[in-house]
Amino acid sequence: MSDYFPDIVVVDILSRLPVKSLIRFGCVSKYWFSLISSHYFNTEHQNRTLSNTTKDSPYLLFSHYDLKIEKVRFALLSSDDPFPLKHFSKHLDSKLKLGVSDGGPIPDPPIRRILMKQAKKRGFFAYPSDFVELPSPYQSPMNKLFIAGSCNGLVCLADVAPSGDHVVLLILWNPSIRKAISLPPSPVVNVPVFYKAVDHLGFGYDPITDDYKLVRLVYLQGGFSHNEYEGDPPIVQIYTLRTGAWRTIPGRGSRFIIVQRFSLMFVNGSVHWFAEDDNDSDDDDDDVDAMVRNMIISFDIKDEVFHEMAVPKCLEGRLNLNTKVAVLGGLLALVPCNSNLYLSDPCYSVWVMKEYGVVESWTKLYDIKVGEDLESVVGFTKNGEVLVSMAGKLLSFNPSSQRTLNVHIHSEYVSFYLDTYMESLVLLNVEDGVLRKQANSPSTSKGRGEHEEKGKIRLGSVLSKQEKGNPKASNLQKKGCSNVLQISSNTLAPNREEKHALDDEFANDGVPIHLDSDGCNTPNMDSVPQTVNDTNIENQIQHAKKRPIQDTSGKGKKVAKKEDRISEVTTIKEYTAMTTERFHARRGKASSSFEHFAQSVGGGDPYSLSKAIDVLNQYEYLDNYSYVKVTKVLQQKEDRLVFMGMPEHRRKAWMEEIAHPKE
Amino acid sequence: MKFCTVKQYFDDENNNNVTNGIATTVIPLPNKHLKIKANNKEMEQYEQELLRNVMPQELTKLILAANYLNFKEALDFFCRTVANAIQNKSVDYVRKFFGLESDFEPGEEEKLCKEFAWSFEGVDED
Repeated sequence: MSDYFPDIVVVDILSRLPVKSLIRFGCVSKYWFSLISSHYFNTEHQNRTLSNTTKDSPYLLFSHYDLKIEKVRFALLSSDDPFPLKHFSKHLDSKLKLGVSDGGPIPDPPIRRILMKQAKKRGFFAYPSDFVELPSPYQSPMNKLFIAGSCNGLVCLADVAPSGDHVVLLILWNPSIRKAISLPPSPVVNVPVFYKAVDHLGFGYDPITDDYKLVRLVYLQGGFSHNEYEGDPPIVQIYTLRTGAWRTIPGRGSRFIIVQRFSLMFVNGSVHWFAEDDNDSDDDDDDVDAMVRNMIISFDIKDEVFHEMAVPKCLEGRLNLNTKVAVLGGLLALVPCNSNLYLSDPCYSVWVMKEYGVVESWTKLYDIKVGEDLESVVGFTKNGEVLVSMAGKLLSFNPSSQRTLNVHIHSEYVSFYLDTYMESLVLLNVEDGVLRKQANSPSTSKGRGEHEEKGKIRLGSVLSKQEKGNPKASNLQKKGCSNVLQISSNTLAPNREEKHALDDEFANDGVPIHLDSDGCNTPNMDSVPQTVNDTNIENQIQHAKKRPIQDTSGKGKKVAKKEDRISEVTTIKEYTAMTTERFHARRGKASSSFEHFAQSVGGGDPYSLSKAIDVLNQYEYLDNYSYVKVTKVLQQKEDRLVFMGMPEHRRKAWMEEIAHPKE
Repeated sequence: MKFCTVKQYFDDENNNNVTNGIATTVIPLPNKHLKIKANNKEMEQYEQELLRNVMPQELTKLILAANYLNFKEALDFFCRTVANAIQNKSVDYVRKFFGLESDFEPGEEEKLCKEFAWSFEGVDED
């Protein structure tokens, strides 16, 4: 405690500093560390940041799956001008000037044009300026890490199963302080036979308890046709950062069905999703149009209550519009972006709800005229442009000038994410998902070693030397972003503990049984031959009984998980052909049907050729010619990954394509 | 309203929080403020000039004076200056500046520094 300075002055001074300096100054004294980690200080700091930058976030958080490097990239962009026009020419000019030794004029336009073309092909992120790359806190084995939501500088990441249905691991990450924690596993949900669980996430902040909450809605999908829903509204589970634990709330969620994954928006204290009312549970397709009603579901984070909000009349009854909820200028927005023109007429527009909660205030701002085959709307920039993806390319559309610009970033459209971001100190005093008590903060560093393993992802201090005079930093600074993070552009490898755990799992044969989501023990269905092998099953069920369920649900595990071989429940026909007997036998023996969201590692390579062939063998209807063709393709590991990860109907289409390629 | 404390100051003679030298620097500020209220740039220049003549250690006294006098603009200005000055400095510099001592246990500080090693990059030399 300083004799000279009253606390209020110290707080005043410190709250003006960027996060990097604050983290460093936490080492000044115990008192300063606890002050900087305190919630009070975090609020002061954030308030000052917001008031400095004209009440708007200084940054945009951007993420996409970069096909070239086959990794997910996270980056901070300037919110004023995230993709500056001069991005490529800046580098080109400096490069060309270097080539010309006498510092003379830039060479001929034709050469420049060619070089520019090449540069654009390499992509926006090949040139290190105008963005700050954030090292990913976690290496997902599937390399697909999605941002579920971000709020006050805290980002929620989700590692998703290859089937795309449910989350395998959840992480809370504060990029400013480079700290991340993984969430413990969520409560187990009983999934009846023939069903699978599909989950949707929501993430937001509760100002009353000053807490961050993650909400998980679990829908049961399946039945005889894989499109049918069980009919009951979803189970609702909530995780709060302060308690570090999950709980299931009594009652159920709204009966409306959320359509898109990772299209949630936190605004006005509630998480919003776009959903449909699937009242009609028959397979009667003729009447589907008449029965569908679109709605916005909102979940109030502090009251933990669901509400429903109507959408504009003209969007209400239309199916398949691929609509997402968004936030534009602090207002709730809707962006229908119909990507499948066979199912519905083109509709690409931006609507905002000028007065929150007032249905009549829905106003269409503009149509997005970029062309057809728009895949999705990614986000908005401060200068009024909207970013959209088309054929894997990111485009920027300016509604007033009606001009479209190619940003030169390529990806799978489903992986683009763009939202506002601000620096914060959240998570600084969090250990293992539970907040540390203030008094203990620095002294628990002794005990920290013990906590190292449990559910926490440690960010190593592996940094590249290239950070001195970081050009990205200085560029962003010039743009007026005062709080720039100096960050390495290398993504971090899994640390030693994780690696050992991974090796152990592979070596261990009796490792947690992977339980198929249809609730019964289907250990490695592919490797089990067609005839029933009772002893095998017997053994494996014994294992299941011995192991506590918590082990297998593995949300907190940092280990790579391999998805179940048969990712989607198959039709009745296939079941009877293959598994009925085994199924009945096992049902009698298994203690009860449990559902698990993580799929554990079996012995050996789950994507081996032999396993793939086993999967292929179930398709008895295949003629020899097709069979041979598919096996040839399956020689490649990537194709095997795809083949085994795909849902049933997709797999058939894929095989069809291989056997009889369309000209 | 800005000057109620000042009034007290003049009334109360046993005052050693604010030396005369400091008072002469701080008190003219509001007048200047009012004069060039609209023009931020001029104000900045004036402030820069003021600071050129002031040593960092004196700055602390200025801050305390401004705080005591409950003078918001000056306090804001001085704090901003200090923040800019210390932003990129090392932990030791900051300790000296604020007259603080480390109260960590021997191993603790090291552990913290290790954990947040990335924040120590690019720091100015003392």
